[in-house]
Amino acid sequence: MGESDVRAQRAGRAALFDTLADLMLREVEAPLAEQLRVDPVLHRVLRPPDDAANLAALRADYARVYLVTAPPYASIYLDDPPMIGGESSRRWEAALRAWGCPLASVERAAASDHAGLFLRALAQAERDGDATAVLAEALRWLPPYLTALRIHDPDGFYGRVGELTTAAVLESTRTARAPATDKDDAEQDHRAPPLPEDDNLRSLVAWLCTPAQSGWYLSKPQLRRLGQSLGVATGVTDREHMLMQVFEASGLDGRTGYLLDALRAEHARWSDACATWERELERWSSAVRPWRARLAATDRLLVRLQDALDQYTV
Amino acid sequence: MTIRLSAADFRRFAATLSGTERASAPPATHPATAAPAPAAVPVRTNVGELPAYPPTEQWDRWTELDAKAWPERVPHTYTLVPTTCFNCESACGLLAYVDIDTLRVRKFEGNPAHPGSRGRTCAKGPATLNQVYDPERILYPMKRAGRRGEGKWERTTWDEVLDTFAARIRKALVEERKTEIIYHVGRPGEDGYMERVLQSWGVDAHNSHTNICSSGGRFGYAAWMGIDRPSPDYANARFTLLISSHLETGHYFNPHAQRIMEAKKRGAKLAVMDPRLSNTASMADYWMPTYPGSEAAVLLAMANVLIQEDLYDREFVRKWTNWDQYLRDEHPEVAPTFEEYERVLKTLYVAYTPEFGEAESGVPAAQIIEVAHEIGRAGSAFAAHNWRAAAAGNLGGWMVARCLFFLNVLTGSVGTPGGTSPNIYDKYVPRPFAEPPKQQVWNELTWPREYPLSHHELSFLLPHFLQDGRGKADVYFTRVYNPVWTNPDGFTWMEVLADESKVGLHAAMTPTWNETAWFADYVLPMGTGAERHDLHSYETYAGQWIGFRQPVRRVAMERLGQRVRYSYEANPGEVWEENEWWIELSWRIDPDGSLGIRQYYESPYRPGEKLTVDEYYAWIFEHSVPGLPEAAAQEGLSPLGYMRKFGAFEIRAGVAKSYEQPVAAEDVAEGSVDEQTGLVWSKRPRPHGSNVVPKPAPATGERGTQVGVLVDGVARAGFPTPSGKLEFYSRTLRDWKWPEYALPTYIRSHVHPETMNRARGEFALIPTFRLPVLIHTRSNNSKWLTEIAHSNPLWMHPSDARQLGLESGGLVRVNTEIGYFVPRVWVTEGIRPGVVACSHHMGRWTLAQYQAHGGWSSALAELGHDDSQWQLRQIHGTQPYTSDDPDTSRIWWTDAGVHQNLTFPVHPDPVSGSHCWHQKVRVEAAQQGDRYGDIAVDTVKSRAVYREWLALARPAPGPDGTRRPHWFLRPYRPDPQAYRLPQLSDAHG
Repeated sequence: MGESDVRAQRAGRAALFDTLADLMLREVEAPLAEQLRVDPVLHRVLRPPDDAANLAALRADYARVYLVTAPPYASIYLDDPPMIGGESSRRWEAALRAWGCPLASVERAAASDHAGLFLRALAQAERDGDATAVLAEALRWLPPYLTALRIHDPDGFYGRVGELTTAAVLESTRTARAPATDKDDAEQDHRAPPLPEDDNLRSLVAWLCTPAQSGWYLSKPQLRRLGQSLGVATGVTDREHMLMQVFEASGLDGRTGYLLDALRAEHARWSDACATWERELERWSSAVRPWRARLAATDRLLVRLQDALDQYTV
Repeated sequence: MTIRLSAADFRRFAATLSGTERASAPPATHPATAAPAPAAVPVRTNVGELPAYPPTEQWDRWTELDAKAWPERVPHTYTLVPTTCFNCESACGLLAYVDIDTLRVRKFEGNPAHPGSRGRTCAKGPATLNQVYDPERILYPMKRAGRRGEGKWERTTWDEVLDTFAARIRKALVEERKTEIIYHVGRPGEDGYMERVLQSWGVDAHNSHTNICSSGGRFGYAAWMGIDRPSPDYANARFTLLISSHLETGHYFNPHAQRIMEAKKRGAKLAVMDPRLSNTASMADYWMPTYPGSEAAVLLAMANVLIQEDLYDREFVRKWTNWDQYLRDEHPEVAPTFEEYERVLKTLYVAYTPEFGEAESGVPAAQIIEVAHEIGRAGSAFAAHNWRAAAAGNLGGWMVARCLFFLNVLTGSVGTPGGTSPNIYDKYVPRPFAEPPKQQVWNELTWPREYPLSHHELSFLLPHFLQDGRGKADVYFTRVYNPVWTNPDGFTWMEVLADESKVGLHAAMTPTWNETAWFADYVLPMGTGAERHDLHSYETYAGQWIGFRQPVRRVAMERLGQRVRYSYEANPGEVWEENEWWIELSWRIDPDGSLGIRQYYESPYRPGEKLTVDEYYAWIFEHSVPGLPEAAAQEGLSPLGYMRKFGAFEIRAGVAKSYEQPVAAEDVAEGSVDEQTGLVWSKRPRPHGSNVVPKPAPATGERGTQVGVLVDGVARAGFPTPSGKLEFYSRTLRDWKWPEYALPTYIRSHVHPETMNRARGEFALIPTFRLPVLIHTRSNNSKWLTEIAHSNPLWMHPSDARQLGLESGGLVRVNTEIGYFVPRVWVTEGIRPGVVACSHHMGRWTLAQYQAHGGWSSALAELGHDDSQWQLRQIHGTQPYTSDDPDTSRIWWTDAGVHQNLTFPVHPDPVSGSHCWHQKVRVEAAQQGDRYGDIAVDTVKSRAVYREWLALARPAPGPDGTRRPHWFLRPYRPDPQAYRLPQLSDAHG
């Protein structure tokens, strides 16, 4: 591949990252929808709205996905407790400062660790010719986030945005330099988080709802569905409280086994996704090892819960 | 991964996507609605520290989408008008979104240009919208149609109101009955305006709420530095100690909380003394649950640790405290050297061991020592604050503030970055034009001679003084004030307000109905924070700023080219702003200028013509605010235009260590130095500048005026005290008959454990705490806020509840000295044993037989009265009702709380004059027939308790034969001759 071809592909990735950033940072407006419609690939992949009614519906989808289903903030996936504007935000802000990038978007009042800003930075890095540093930062959490997007909006526009972003990020890793590995960091990252010391329900629930520990993101709609299947209305509340209600309801009518089955199925989905990422990332596969370690810990926790249940049942 | 992209795909993206306009471009067309195409929606931007808000250059015309129409995109265009919140005392900046098509205020957000609040608000700020559009608010001036307190009203005109009051006031002035006019204010919300009005009338009419609020704390600070309030630089503190709830509800809550948290994020630590686990205490590194009234014992124990372990700032104490005066007066046997003083100091507080602190307070000695060490380590970056809390709760509560500031003095953290400054360093009151002279009269109804050191008016004793026959309130204004509900002993207030021989003509100036307005002759609808002009400056951080409250609809109309003569033309109904009202009233009191009043209401720009509110503020902004004319010029605006646009102006940022300022050379040249005291005097002191913030009066005498103090050979400004220094030793307290309190010491509270019989169910009741979303009586007219908080149960520790056989939700009878109230109990470990607590932010009631007086916050009540026996019983709590506002049909709660203050007698502290709110109560299970919210009081007992506490006072005269030390701060300070007591034959009986 010639130099000009490399440059063209970098420019293409940069343009795509910018477009994906647009899609994550703001609702789709008519001009952007039109642009998606005229591009044959994006039209095919994303299936953008084709009339005003669908465009209005997509705005509702935007809020549903990003505010409720799959929050696009690094802090949610990396910090314990998950909190917008937490430690990860500060780390990312420091990186943005170092790279001379703006700390916030002009599109919306979002914390600096919003996925759209990561994609903006990736676009800039592609234009500058080396995305290695941004990728190293982004891959600490983009895989679980994009997985959440796809799992929690499987048939929707933004689920497809997640898939397209995944493809673009993978393409970027294939052309970037391999990441430098800090041995200490690597060892620390790959260490599984300690399981809750005791099995009181509050600790368990907090653990399962904290992606930095469990490696997955249980969304509110998902927990609501889980609750419905157990005959409990979880109401408008936070995720931990929802899961708490689900556990309590399952215990009351002896359906904890069913609940654990559902959680194991969820775990399998996330584990499969993690394995796929690890495989596709090739030289960058170490980036998802912390994630894999978290999921492994969750697996052990589920086994422990099952053992406890079996013991109790016997 | 299911999507694969080819190299060709990427090459095409480079060609087709790279030209995409990013989001900064507004949509060219409107996809979801029919024509006409909407205006472009501007993009919020990043300025200052908040993530996003409209750029200031677009405030005149700002378009954004209607959130309620989502997912449709319906744009609205607004003009954004800054104002300041009028709910609490912080005066945080608000930005009103006024729809330019309908002129309806759509919402209030924070004003990012306000340096105090920096764009942030608490829940109360946005709730201003509720208050503007409260369906129950009073829209027109109302006049009593039946007997006082009967609840019959008729609409009247502003002209009739003005003529009635002008004639009555003029008559009183002409007949030299100048003490019969009383203006009783709750939340002033402004600096300097009313001072000018009342002094232009020549009356001593001001009566504040402060003696049921902060005057105890103020006195403690004033005893040290003459200045009565602290201004902590929380943002730069290494350690903060709070004896109030500044992180959640307390004084200057929003601007303080954000800065405390900034410091905490950088590693600063926080200690909170509070018998309750308040939200503030829950954020603290050290929660010190002191027994109520024991705070000073703990503070002195910490001071003792600093002193014994030499952790104090020797140089600061040597240079800036009056240790030498103390030695000369009290230890003439020793040489007046600092080393001798240190030796004495180590013996003075030796009895205040941490173990003593623990015995009094219940706080472990180890924690007292640990916090003391933290304070010592923080050194000059030690911030502390006491506003109400312990200082307002206890007999001798003022000493808590004095002992707290002792720690600032010992650590040298006075006027330092991260330390605590005198508040006037961070407050700016611009001088208005044509200042009237000080009044020649002294009103003994508000400043009785029993309390010569009282820091503010004895406002809560007014009904008792009227019942004593000490005078009459011929014209009585209650302004944003509700003493029947807010003050202790509300039934005595009702007795007096209903008596026309004691209160001649009463106007309740209020935006909304309240319990006091029920007993008024006129109810005058005055504007909320979005409907009036006010100018103010508060010590909310290390810096000086002024804020400008505005009638936002009026400003919007003027921006759109409409002429507005009076604010009531723009406000809802005929709601007026007070400033214009006072101008009109003063003009009518003296239409021909013969009383000398009218001159102060003539325009500085149009001689002889009536002043407008625009001209009043334009003059101030042009002449009295340093830097404002220049900043305005840079924006191409007049100074008034600048304030109308931005709503605030920062005069100075950062700490000012003003006491170290050298005395001006011209003062020294014209002056002399007293060799013994080190005081610097000037024969011709420089005139005051344009900042007329109230200060203690400098001493005057043969040498001239006190202008500074000599420190290590340099004449410095020092502190506005008789010694020119921080007064570890108060000669004033000694000379005015309180020698035992001349030094920081510990005064046992009237609710000290030794006064309690726990076996009888006796407890100390804390009735003073705020709730984060409410603010006394003023938040009553906000449905949103009341929806969040509408209950005031009695907090009780589980061990106490067990002993009494009580559970959460159970009814209890709380017996006070004069009666009882019946709340529900809340059993919680968030309060220490032996103490119960009940927030004063609840218990609103109305006697109206229809839902038009506080339906979402007040219980409908019936009042029973048999001679001195009073009862209040709730008929029903809050309930939904139909109005123009659909929200009134969504009142899902029924609890309006319990009005505990009615059952409290008056407790005037004999030194500071502050009401001591804490109560010794006996708690028992409710008796048969008791209902939630029941109140019973015997006002004969109220009178007995009043006389008991009055007997504790040590009346004037002082050593110079006057009513009060002239140097002391006094609001609306009269002329010095008014301080002289009349001959005994003239005195009241």
